[in-house]
Amino acid sequence: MQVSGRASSCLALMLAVLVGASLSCAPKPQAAAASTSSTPANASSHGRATVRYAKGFVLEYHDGYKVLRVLTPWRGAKEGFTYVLVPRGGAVPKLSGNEVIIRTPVRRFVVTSTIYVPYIAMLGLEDTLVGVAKGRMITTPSIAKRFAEGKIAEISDGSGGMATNYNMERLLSLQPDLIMLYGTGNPTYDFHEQLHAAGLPFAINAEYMESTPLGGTEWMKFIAAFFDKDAEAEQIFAGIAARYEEEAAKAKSASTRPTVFRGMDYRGVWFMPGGGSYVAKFYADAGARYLWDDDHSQGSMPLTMEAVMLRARQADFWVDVGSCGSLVQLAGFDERYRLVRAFQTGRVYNNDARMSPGGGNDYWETGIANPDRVLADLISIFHPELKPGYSRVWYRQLPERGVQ
Amino acid sequence: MKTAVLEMLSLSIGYSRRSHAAHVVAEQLTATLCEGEFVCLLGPNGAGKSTLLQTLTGIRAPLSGSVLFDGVSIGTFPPRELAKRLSVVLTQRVAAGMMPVEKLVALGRYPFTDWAGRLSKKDTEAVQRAIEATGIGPLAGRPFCELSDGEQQKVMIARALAQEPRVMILDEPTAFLDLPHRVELLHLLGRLAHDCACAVLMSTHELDLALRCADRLWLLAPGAPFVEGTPEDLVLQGAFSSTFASKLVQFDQQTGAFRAATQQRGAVALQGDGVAGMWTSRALERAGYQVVGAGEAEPWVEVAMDGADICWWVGGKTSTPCASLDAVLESVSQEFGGRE
Amino acid sequence: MSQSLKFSTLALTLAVVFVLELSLGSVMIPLKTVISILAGGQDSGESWRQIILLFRLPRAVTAILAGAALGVAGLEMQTLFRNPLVEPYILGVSSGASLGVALVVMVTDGLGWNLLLERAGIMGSTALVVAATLGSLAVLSVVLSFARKVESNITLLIVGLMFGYIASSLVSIMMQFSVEHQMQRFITWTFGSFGSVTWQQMEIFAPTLAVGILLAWILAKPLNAFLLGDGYARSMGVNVRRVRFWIIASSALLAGTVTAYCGPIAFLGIAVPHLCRLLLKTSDHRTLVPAVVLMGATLALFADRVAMVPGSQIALPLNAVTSLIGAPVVVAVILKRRHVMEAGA
Repeated sequence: MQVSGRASSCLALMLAVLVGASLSCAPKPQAAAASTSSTPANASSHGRATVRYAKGFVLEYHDGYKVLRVLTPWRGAKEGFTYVLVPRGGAVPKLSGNEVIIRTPVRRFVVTSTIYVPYIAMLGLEDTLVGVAKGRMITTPSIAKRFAEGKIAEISDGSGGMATNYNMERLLSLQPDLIMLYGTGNPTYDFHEQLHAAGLPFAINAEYMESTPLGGTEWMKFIAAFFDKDAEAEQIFAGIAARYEEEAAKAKSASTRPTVFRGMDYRGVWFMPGGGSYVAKFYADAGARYLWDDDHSQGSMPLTMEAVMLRARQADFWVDVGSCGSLVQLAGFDERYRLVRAFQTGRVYNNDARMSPGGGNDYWETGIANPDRVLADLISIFHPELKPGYSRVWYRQLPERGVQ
Repeated sequence: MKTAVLEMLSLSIGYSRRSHAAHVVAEQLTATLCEGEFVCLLGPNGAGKSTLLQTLTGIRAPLSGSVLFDGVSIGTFPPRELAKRLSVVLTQRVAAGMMPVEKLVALGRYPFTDWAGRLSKKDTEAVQRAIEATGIGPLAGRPFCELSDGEQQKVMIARALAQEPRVMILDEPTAFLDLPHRVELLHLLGRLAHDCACAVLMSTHELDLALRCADRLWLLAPGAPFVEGTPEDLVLQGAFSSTFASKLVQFDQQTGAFRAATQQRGAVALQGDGVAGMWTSRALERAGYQVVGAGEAEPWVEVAMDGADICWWVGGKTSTPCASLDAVLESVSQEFGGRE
Repeated sequence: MSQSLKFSTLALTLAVVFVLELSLGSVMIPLKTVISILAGGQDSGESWRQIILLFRLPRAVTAILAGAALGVAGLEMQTLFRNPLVEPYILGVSSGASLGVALVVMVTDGLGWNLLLERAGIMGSTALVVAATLGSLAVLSVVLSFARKVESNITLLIVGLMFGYIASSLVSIMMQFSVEHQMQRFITWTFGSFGSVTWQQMEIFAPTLAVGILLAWILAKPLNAFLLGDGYARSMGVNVRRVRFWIIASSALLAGTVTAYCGPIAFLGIAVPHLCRLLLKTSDHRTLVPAVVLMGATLALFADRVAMVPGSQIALPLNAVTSLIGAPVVVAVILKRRHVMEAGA
């Protein structure tokens, strides 16, 4: 049998395992970082860096070096990664031996995901970026320009999808000081083993594991540490966090809490993020009630359309409808979407208002890096009275018909 | 004068190939199949028996010449009409699974039933007649796959019979059967041809049985002209010897059987007749001796029956009593051995 | 047990499973309510009415039709090729459909032609259906043109298989170049689902399948002749080439339509004919076709029920369930009845 039988049965099994794993996985209790010293980091201070929201990494300052620990690189990981950042020419400390030594500051940086690109721009590190994957999707203007000018190399081989292939020769020829990537724990998709085998220096970034928006963005400090830009990162993030909290406080004061849900049905399966995910936190902070906040998982649940409709029929708002451009197109996928109250009142919003010519969605770049502004967008959707005259950045209301 | 049903006129059979000359298997075949006749088609492997049968049933087009059914070329019959007149039994085993025998025989009414395959009274009667004629009554309700090979072929013949054909053509139907079943089948076919007034044409390797059962024989041999006639005529004309001639095998006109041409080791005189005599003669021939009449050669063998017991005497230089043919052969061999 | 008793039992089982399908799901809706809603009563809650009439009922009807169609198509293919392991997709129907769907999901979406499609009135799920149909037709037309010229069934089988492989490789290439959400959309399509046929689509889905099943019913007599093999069939007056064409065409119509609307659904096509042959102890297609319709519908409903994991909101991929049910059935059938290995038994 061809695509139908065996392949789909294999994928079905994988999916079942993933579902089982994610449902049975309780969020691991993470050690809360002690907020002892908040002095900007340099090689001669001591103590832990202040990390208020992110639970996935710990940054420690020692004499002449920093220790950066990634606690849970992916779901179900039994152990993390430890990086020891030593300035060039500095002595390498004698530690347990399981750590990876990275020389700082990094001068030649390669990233495998465009998610990290906005931080590079925010920290003024454009010059250090020498390689990126799927570069034509980059939306951050300064870096997109450099990519177009050929100053940044493309490291993937053009294939897409979940199992991107990277061009090892190009990677080696770039002679990077650091390659940043994320891992999933699934050897089919993970690339770090190959990097390890090739002797290339890499660091695993587990930003996506965070269950709050600010937690994810705080990973800019993780990145900054490699460039000795700890102070700048601290300052920028403090600003973002402050603005975020301010907006959230405003939303909290609103008199109503409209209901919201997201996504679309894919041939009978609707992947709904759990109540413990960062998406749920966003909606809650924006003053809305996520219809699946009774669930506590961090991953996505595969629901039947019937189950979703049962709960979401009377929803006030519907967001993040995937690749849909208009209400007519949405109904084209399934006439039954018209049953949802949000559809009938036209309160359907998608986060694709800012797309790059290369097909990249800026929401996933600048949006992730600026959760305070995404929150503002969301608040303006759920509580327009709180944001009079506000112009949304990444979210747009779905028009009746598509426009070119 | 029997009615001719199927005629071949100067038929040339073979395979046509694109951009090559056609491969001719046999040509100038002329013969007639008459009602009520049981005809066997004989010939060595590769002579083209199957090709001929395929041409006669209309599956394969003749290279030249014509096949006439009741005087009309079979090519002009639409398949369904031809099916009402001509049915077949093939060599290969049919995998009809759990179909009950009765249903399978009823399939023979296919050309006559309506689009839904419903059997009319006439159809049911034809099926019953076919079952009775082939003697498979007790098997009627059983699933086909549970029958033995012989029983299965009888069912296939019943099916062909249920089609109420004027001509039934069988392509080596006895190939996978054991001897008793082969005999049974050939006798059955002969009877059917006579009783049901249809013409039966069967290709086979069973020379002995064909000689005994068939009304007519058709002989097809590569490189030799096609001959047909009554079996005995053909034997006396020497047709068998020439058709099946080979260095190793000879056709013995006397016994009507094929014999391996063994080395002749000498002549032995045989006295004694009846069944014991005949089998003694066969044993001696098998051992390579030429059997001649009493007194015409030495050594001699005498067969005597004492009630139910048989005893032999082998004589030459000495006279030895033997209790079995085994011992007879031993003694004869010793006789010859002694002479050299 | 007489045949009519067996048929009654089958029909009864179908009815029971049908009602269960309507009653169970993410919420349990009591039987009385289900019946009253079906009868047109207006007094039950609006949400329950919507669930039954807009979600569960079309899903149940789709399952019934698809199960029946796949069973019949499988029966036809097994008889034509005299092989008990043949399934309705053997001639490349499902790979052709996958090719069509892959083109729409991955290529046109990647090229941004969605707007064009929207203006043409073909969008979303309709686009998938159209694409899958065109894909199957493309592969099939090639195979059918061979069917007219070629005597041997084996050759036909191989041609179908080869085109199936070609289509699959093209799909793999497209997957390489697609983006995550496209790939996910395509992969979920391959999981199979009875839940995506709406009442509008049913207007084409149901009659098409009805026509296919009717064709098979009409072909029952020549199919019986085919049980004896091509040689005997021809000698009984069957126009072998023409009948073979119609058998392939009707089977492809059934399998292709189901695949176009529901995605490729594994195992129903193989297992159901065998189960019916075992149960009714017959090879006569005039009995088997209606039996396969009933049994196919029942099994499909049952599989869908299991895939919907009663009592929870979660859904399992349909193909996984049908495979888990169907594979042991096929193995058991083959082990138990040696004769089933004889083709077309």
